[in-house]
Amino acid sequence: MIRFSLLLLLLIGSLSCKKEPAAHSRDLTLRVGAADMPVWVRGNAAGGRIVLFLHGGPGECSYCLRPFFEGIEQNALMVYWDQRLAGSSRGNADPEAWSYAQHANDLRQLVLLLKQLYPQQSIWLFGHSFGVELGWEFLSTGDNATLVAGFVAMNGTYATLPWLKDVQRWVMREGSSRGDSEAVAYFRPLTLTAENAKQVVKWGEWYSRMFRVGANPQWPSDDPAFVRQMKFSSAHSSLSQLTNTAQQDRYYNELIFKFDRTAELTRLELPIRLFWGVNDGIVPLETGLSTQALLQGEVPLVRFSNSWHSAFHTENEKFTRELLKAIGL
Amino acid sequence: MPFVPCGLVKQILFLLLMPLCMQAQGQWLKLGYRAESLSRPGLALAIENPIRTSFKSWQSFVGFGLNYYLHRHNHQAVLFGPQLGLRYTHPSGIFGDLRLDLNLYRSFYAGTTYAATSDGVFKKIPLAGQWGFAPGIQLSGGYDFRQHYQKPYRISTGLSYYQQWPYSSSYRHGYALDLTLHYLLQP
Repeated sequence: MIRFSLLLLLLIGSLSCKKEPAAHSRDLTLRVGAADMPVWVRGNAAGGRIVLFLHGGPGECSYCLRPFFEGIEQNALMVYWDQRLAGSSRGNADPEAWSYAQHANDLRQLVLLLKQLYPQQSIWLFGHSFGVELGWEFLSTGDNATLVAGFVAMNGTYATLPWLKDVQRWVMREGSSRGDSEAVAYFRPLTLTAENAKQVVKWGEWYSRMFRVGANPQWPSDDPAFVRQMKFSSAHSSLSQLTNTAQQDRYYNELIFKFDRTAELTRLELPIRLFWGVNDGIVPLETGLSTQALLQGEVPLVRFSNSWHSAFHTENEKFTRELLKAIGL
Repeated sequence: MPFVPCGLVKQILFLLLMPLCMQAQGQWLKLGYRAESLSRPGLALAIENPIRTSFKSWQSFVGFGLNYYLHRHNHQAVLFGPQLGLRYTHPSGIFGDLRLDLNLYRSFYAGTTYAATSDGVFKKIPLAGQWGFAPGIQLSGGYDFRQHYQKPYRISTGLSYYQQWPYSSSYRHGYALDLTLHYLLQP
């Protein structure tokens, strides 16, 4: 009886273990103020490059997306960081104190820490969706742009008002071509200004119509690889992940409407690459083109023609190839 | 320094430790495998005392539990505290019980924790982690070998749910599946 129980315990225990394929693996936590933010470094150090992933949301879970960066890990070090109040970050950070500046300072401290831990590596930022907003905020603050080798931005915005207008036009265009007259009728009369955007934009109503006309039919979170990764890597269940995401209310209700780095973008001088899923309705291609127009010099915009919001999921091979090329590998 | 009523602290400590101090007659030792969130390995150890020592179909009990789990590359944690439960044992030996846990929670983060003390200056924090409360409930069922085999064993499996708070200014839902072997220390 006891032997049988012990055997069963051992069997269950061995099933719970998961093999880590990465050559370099380091877990750490960065504490800034009251936030304890987990960081995972995985991959190949021989390439001399770190790709620091700025996840979206805000409130998402960086390490859950790891399956889509396997190709990067074979050639460079991937750094997965759960931002404060996101993913499996911990501590007692105050949701009421949520700010872009605080996030940018968290990122600065992480970059400075990585430079101490990996002095031989050059650090590239890769931002996705909200991570792009964070990237622009960080790069256009103080001397931060001198700390990193470059920035790859995927389907994210530099300013809220032009982005909202791009979304409005995109929904009207797609709604017309798909025969969704209700969506068109909802968006057509909206006149957005910096002053009224906070009152005009009802996120639930916007996003339900955007998704109805195909803004992003394929989510990484629907992929079994993501689900497995979240199950094994996040401190949360899917239930508590929702709870955590609700801590971003200050962002959605207030701060996003003040976000505008237009002027700062024109002054950036570091290497920048734009990656865009051209079918995306969440952050449409038009936002990418206006980003490109604002930046100095010739900034390449890599188009992913079979992708929406997350090309690392829908066109993974091309994404891996282009990202490695962008960082010089 | 926030005001902490000394009497309240004493009462909480008494509540936490009471099950350990109770009489030994009818005391059970429980050792189990704890599958935290189903996929994370752990252990569950508990002492259980019946509130009434004579065996009945319906029996209430108090106990003290110490649980551990490992979430690889994320954290490891212990949950410990008093337990209060009610069990029904069928003459066939099959039993089911409902248990309330009043656990404290302490996690230890994976890897090294670096605290930014000022811009670009970092200090390593040993044993960094988080304290919290983790009250929960467990529903379990099993078999009592005393009924037909006169052996001082029980085996059970149970599903527990708890809420850990605070967690990043909010709370976290937690759940675990236990497979437990019970041994009667003092018949």
